[in-house]
Amino acid sequence: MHLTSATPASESTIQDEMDPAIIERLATRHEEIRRGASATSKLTAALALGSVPIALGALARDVYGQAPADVVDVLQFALLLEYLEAEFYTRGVASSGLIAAADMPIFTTIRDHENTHVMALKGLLTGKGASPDPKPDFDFTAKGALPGFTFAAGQYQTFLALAQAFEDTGVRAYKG
Amino acid sequence: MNNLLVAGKIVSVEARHASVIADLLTPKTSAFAPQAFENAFSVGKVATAAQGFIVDKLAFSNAPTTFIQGPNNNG
Repeated sequence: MHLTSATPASESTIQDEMDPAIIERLATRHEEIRRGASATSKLTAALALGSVPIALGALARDVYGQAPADVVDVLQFALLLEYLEAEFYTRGVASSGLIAAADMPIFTTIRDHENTHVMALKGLLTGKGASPDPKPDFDFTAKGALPGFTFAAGQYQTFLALAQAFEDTGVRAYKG
Repeated sequence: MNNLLVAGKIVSVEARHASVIADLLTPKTSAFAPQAFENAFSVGKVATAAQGFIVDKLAFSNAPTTFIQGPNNNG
């Protein structure tokens, strides 16, 4: 699992690779987040992010020997997702007026956890003789699906919707 | 620590994060844990979704292609 150098992925490619059944499920899910995020199909696709636990599931499989995966690749992918979360919360906490003051302790705690996870995964990779991949450049507008999202004051609901997408351990099959 | 132990220790904390954020969005409802078994996606599907937030293109040549079957497996 690597980043290829400087080749921006097109949104159409992302959409083409999505399972239609997943898109449908996300469309239902999207209703749940309508309070915070503008409604576009690209957004529903972007919010399919199942997050770190899914990648880590492959580690468990490797331990059981059912289908040996390249552990280093899986760790690199988990690291990538932790980078994403760590940067998201770091920027959110640093942005004046974005996060409701009463909620700030929640997000500083989460930010600290994500940074600790990054360090732990780096340590595992180093321990296996691998070089941890560097942090890539992120686009928290999801390549235009969230136009204008800049962690600015007044964008808290969008921030929360993104946080939920990053943290969910899978896309939930909301029963419409 | 072995890989599985690390995974479990991270996953459980991520689930706490998911829970508190869900409760911020929809306070004091079942949103914090809407079902008894979490959904599971393949690495490939997660990677496809993650690509939306990453400027450079991911290459998935070595990603696992199959996944453990179980409750709520959507991978």
